[in-house]
Amino acid sequence: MQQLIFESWLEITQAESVYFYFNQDTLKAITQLKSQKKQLKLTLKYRSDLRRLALVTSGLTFCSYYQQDESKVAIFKSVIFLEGKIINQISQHCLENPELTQEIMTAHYWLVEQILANLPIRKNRLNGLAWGLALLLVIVVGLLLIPLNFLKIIAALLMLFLFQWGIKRLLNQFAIFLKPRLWLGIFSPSTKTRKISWYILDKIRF
Amino acid sequence: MTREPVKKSYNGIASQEKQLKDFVKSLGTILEEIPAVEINTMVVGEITGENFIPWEAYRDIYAISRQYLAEQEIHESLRDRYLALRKNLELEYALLLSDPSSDFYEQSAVREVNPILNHPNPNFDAIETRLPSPMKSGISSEIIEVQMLLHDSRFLRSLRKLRELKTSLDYRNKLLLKNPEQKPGINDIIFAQTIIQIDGNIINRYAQEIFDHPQQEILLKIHKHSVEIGQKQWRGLLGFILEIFQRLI
Repeated sequence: MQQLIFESWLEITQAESVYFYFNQDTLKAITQLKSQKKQLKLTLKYRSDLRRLALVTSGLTFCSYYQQDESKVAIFKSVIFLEGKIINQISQHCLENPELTQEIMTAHYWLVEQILANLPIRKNRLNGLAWGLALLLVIVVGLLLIPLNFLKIIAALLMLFLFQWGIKRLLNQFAIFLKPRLWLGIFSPSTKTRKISWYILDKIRF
Repeated sequence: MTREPVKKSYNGIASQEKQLKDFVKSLGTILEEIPAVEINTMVVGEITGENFIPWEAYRDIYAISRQYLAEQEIHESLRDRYLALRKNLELEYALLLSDPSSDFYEQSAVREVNPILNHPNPNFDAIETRLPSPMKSGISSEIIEVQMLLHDSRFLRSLRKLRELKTSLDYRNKLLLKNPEQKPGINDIIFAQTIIQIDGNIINRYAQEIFDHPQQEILLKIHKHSVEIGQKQWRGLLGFILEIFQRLI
């Protein structure tokens, strides 16, 4: 639910910009989330779009709008260029209300921080996967060898170690085969291909 | 690879291979170009949420000339600043033409662009432009050259910064045309700049105008806050790019 609310504040364009739309309610919600030290997670689609933006553009633009009644005004914009240049633009209109400006800036920076925290690829699961598959195999073999005795248990442990080693090698070979395809996949114009590529990268470390 | 598919990729959507190659190449350039982190803060009359469309930005800056500025009724006090944008564009292209590591390197062009590169204040009116024209109709070789240029990440980064400056100038021009007596004030200039060098040196620069501004305190507070958070966020972004690079290479 929180994720859906989070994403309803965002708009990611294909070009290079991320827009935030704030109003009194969203600012209040963000203050609350921030004070509770909540970490927001983006869905795979948003993560995939953002990562693509970060990889193929020269920098990321974040622009915050404040909505009041029917109108929306751009209040703050920050552009982060990869080569180390950051440009912040403050709208002169918002200087009339310094408190609101401060609130919008805090929300803006907090959302940027949350977004950037969603970019890195998740933890290495290749070892875990190899151990999991090996354990499954040993259990199946173990079931066939019932009743178990001390020697069979030692053999099963040895098998577990050997299986995970073999599976890890196989997965590594598969990774070598997959790597160039993933390289291309994350740069694909097709959203679906990009999503699948990032999904695999999030699940398995190469 | 045959010549045709290359042309095709520049005319339409850049191929995945091209994007991948560009990514690796631009990352190399970016890493070479990081002498410091620079945080700039400015007050603007209007924030435009418009997307950056490289072709549009290139076309609009390419068109700038004294005659064009007069035709467009650009306020006289701003004309030199518009011309400076056009000169910067010319300089960026001259750098590409003379750089042996660039895709656009032309040995024969080095002599032609020398006056632009060697002279501290070149007379651009006397130098024939080397920039390919985006104004030609149909698919001419110059149009293809523009398309190729707009896929160069180094050129794109410069173009983007020039476009940001042009947007501010356009807004100031609009205000000046409405009210020619209006004083420029703090708007549309970088009022505070902090440079954090790799060796740890920190340089702060402030525009004179900030010291007379009634909201000086809040503006400086915003800049200070941006410095603290901005550099952390930039590190996060760069860290992600480097992580992808390390994992997939």
